[in-house]
Amino acid sequence: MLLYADRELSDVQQQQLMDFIALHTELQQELDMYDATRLIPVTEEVYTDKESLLKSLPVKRSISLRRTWVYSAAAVMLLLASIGIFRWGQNTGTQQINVAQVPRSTKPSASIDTPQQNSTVPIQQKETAPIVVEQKEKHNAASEKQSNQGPTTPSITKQAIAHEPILVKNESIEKINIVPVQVAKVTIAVEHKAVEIPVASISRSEVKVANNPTVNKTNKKYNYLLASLPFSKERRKGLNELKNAVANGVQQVRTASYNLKASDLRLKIGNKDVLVVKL
Amino acid sequence: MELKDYNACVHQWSDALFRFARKCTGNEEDARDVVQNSFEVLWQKREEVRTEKAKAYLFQVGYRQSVDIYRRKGRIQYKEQLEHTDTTTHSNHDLKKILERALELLDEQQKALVLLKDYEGYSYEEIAQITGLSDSQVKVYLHRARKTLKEYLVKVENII
Repeated sequence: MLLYADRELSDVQQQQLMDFIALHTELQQELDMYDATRLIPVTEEVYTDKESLLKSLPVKRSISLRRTWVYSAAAVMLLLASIGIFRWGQNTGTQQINVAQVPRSTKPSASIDTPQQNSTVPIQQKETAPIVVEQKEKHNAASEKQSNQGPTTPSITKQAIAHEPILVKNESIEKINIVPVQVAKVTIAVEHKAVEIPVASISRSEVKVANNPTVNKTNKKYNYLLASLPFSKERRKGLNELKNAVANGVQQVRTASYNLKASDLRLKIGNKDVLVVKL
Repeated sequence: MELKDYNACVHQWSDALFRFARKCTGNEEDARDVVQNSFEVLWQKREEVRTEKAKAYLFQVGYRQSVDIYRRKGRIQYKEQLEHTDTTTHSNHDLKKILERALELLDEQQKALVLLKDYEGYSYEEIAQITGLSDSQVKVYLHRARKTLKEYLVKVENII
């Protein structure tokens, strides 16, 4: 009867129970009472706040990259500007240092140093100096060509050579740009042939420079420009000295190249020439 | 269990769970708490619970919470008062109401078993899984509950 009330009997079992009850009618009332104990669900009763139980996925935010681009571009610009400022500051500092290292010389004579001497550039202004050109007695075809390329100045004198300084004399130069020659130290014998010294070309160029009114004008313009810049006197002097040093350096290189071209390279073992290189 | 499955469970079983909790606790507010807590637990454990087992899991959680609330509020006194009132003042012939009153005479466990059996139609095995009892224990407790309800009905019938 309890299984019947719980609805746990199969159809066959339920039929058997009914048949038994039919035979024992006194048990019918008890069976009915057990059957009455079954609860009837109340479907009208509902949970009213279902929305509070529901769940939803979090809203995905889309991050706009526009601002990110702007910020990153601004950061890059700032970085470049800071790097530029830093480098500018460094360059101004090195200029001052370079200018300070250049010594001044009041000697009237200017000389082009030999390879053994590392020249400091003596700078002179508004002074004339005797400049002497040295020439070798020997000549070769290349040097002849070079000598034929241009006239020599009357002030050039010939002297013995080799490792002696080469001087260019020019009295008309108001400003003397001393051209020390820095030639690489040669460990093997280098013989200078008797050539028309390309110094003549130097001297010619020097003369040209000295007598060239355009060059004078250029220098004047340069000085005027320098004076108009908002720099202090000391800085102007430093810039001028720097300019002269650069020009001297350039001239040194030119001279050295000329000298090198005019030289032959010989490799000697004892008294024998093993290798001769004509430059 | 996916989000859509969970939301489907809310629409499908929230009413039934509420009715069950309402009968177990005897209080509508407590029943709402039981329903909310049960679904919250299901949401937290959604990755461990399969969709087909969601109903049993809900009722299992709801049953435990209902029993806790029932025991915390102490229904024994209420049961004595009900007996007293029933024997002296009852005159209503409505079987449904009589049964509801008789249900209050049962302890929390028997009441839950009767509700699970009659309201939700669970089998002995399913009820055993929900309540944590064995199959034989479920049968015995149910039979005792039915007997109590039947005796109450007979008594009422006699009084009437």
